[in-house]
Amino acid sequence: MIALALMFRPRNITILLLLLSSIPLLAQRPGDIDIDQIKRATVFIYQVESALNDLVIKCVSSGTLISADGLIVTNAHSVLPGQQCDGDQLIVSLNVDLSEQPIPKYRAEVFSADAGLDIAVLRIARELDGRLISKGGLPILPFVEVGDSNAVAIDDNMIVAGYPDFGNQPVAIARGTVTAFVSEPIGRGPSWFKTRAEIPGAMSGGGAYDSAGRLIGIPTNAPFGGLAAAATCRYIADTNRDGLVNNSDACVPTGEFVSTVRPISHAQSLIRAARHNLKVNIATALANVPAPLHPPRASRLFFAPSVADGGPSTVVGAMPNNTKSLFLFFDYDNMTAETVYELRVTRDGIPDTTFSLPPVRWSGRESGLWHIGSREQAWANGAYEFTLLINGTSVGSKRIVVGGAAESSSQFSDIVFGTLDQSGALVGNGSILPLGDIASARFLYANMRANAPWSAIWYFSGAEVARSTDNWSDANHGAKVIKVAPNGGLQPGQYRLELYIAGALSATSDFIVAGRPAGPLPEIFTNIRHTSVDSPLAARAAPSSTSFPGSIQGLYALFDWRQIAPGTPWTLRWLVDDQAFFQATQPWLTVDSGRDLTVWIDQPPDGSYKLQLLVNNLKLAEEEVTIGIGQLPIDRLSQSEGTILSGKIIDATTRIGIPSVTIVLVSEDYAASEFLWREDQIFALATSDRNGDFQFARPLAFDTFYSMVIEADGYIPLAADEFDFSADQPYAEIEIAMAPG
Amino acid sequence: MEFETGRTPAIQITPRQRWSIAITYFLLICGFALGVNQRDSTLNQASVYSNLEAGISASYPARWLLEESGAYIFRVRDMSHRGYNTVIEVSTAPVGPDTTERNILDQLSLQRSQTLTDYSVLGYDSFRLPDESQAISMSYSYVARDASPFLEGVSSIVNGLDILAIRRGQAVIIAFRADISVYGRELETLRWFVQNLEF
Repeated sequence: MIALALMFRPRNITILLLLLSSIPLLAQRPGDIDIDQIKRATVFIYQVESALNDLVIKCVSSGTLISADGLIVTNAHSVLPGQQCDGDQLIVSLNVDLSEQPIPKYRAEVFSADAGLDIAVLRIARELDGRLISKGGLPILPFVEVGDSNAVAIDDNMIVAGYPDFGNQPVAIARGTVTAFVSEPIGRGPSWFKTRAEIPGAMSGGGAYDSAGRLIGIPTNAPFGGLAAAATCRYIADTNRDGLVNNSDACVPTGEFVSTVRPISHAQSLIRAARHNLKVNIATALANVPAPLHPPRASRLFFAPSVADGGPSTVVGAMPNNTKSLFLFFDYDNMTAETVYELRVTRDGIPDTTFSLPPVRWSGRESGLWHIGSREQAWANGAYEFTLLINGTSVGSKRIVVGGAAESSSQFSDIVFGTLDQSGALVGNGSILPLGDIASARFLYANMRANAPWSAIWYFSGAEVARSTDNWSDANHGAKVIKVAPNGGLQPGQYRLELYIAGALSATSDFIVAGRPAGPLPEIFTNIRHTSVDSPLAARAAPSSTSFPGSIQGLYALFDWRQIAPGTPWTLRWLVDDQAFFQATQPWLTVDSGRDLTVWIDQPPDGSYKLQLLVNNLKLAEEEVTIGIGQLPIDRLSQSEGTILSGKIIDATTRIGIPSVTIVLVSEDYAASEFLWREDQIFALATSDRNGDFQFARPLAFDTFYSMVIEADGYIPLAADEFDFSADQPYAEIEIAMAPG
Repeated sequence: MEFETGRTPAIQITPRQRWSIAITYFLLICGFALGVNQRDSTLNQASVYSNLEAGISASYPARWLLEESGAYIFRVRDMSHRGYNTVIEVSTAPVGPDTTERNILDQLSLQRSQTLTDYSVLGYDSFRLPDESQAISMSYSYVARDASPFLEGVSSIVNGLDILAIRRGQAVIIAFRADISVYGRELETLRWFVQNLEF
């Protein structure tokens, strides 16, 4: 409802005549996806290299604005400097006109990124000409809400937005469904969504949306070098200045069609860190992971029907009818975040796109045990062949037949590790043991035949340390405990147990030995404490506390450690208000025992901060502190839902647009007559452009009454109350005629 | 060769035209008087700002927008001006025993050169404050543009003047900026503002 307002002031009689007409609003049915908002929030990103006063395009990608203050989520491979994309600047083009190509407007910086997960969060930091944008100097930009990718189900509709080529076309929308989930050992929920929507390679980094228009993933591919890259890259500029644009110039990769979407849940900690400007610094001794000296490789491929504590529940060579869960396991070495891996699956010789994984970046560590597969999805009967490729080269394949009746073959499964207490019971957490003399393992067995040959082989750091071979003398079904007592006791490091039946691998699992015995968990990390000083060196001598005043320069966390072998994977996780904003798993890089390792955050905002230290996903130590009021500040611009109000201001006489007029939208707490020209009474400001057009970038909340005040030199002031838009009006346009006077 | 000489015949003004001219002059005089009155009226209509914590009180033109949430103590803006909104901003900066006014102005220039297009210092001068003490002023110019990337905003050339005085161990900076087309006229508002500023 838009009302006329006639206001009379005692001294300066001002007739505020509002000649305001409402143009039919762009109605949207409840439940419809706001495609226009998605398009507006989709950006095009150039990674460029500064060269001789020129900017050379190195890579392109799409991205999505997720906050009004210029946070963009996209792929890491096209924005982080790397072998293929070696640029040093990021140019962000915005979707100014939905039907036209994007226009370069800003420069961005990578705030946080995970190269393996192939996710980066950018922050718009500079104008296009390189000038810094001061804090609060960026206009409120259109953005989309981040959804819950863990709530997505197979066959759910999905919309993908992005730019389909090198910026020559407007933003494109591809529609499809979620056809499959792919699981890998990273985080909670699916590692990938699969879709058959046709997504051009340049749309990688854009956004995938659920049926409510919330961002649920990032379409992701990974173009890699070599001959295969030539087919999916383009020569678009004379980069070598020879007067020709040909294959002697730098080629901009786009990759092949995208069929995988990285669920947004894997980006949540990066997004949270960027939203609150939280950057974690890690002491040098722990930060620099050396690059592997040898090429990446994969070995020991086998199948398992399910995953238990990151390892295979058992090892299978065939699966019965109605199989709904299957995983390929393999060992890997010398992998990096730049390694591209791919899984090609065929069924009866025909490519199976549902369970294949196109080329993507490696998201694991440098070495370890990996798995890829799916659960709760039907595997049609047939002979499957899994072929693993690393950097475009096949490194191994494995076949498995799905179908037929369930066999009652002999089987070991579900290995857990621990130590035996005085009553002979296995105690421990299953995958981490403290230092000692003996390690024990319990496993289940089924369908065992008497006198069947079986063996157990124990490894330490890849080398065999013990082996036992025997004929089966226990019952057919049950649980069994075995143990190993290496010479010199259990040393800190990584161990593995393999169980064989008649020479065939039947079960395997890994465990870590570190720390000293202390209850059910070993004690590895101790004496976590926090200080607030201005340098890591000063932190060691500063008194610790569990609460700090607001606006501190730095929050430092220190901890001691004992008996953890170099190379042991460990995880540092930092939470604010019980939400993780940093998590990194990497090999332990320093000596096995010591004191005062330091990690810190510069200028943390108010909140409750919790530091957690984990090994094998088990939380071994944590400490919480509060800063200021102990709660994160509320972002008043975080709301994306509402009505985008735009319009035109015209001269009532000439009907020509009036440029440079400021329009004040008064907040819902005040009527126009109560507006006293105070900042705290304003909901939003807009200024008309050279055509008289204006737009409030901040959406108006639905079913909320606003007022509008306009005063412009040479025109009679205007005021109106009771602007009210309902949820079916995502966009509203108004025309305001101002009478000269 | 003969030349004809003569006079242009006198223009005959009709009574109706005579009345029109008279009315036009009357309206012009009225308009001027109204303009002067309006200007005085505007200047006379003042709002008062007071910040006890910062020890600052000021009068500023009524119907200018008062803001206190930025990196300043307060600022006021003329939102009715079409184009760059004239702004007067009061802020403080810490000073050390060796800090000079010029140090602070140079620091301001370094910061602005990172964020303002074509920022250029035009000169320095002295400025007499109402209490007869001397302050230093710095004038500058830059190009401002409406920040919305989705509209066809046009750029404005902005002139600025900083007046800086050191009081009680801190620098008080009065920053004044206006579109170059109205800068001279708006300086009157600045002078009036400074006359009524207490810090």
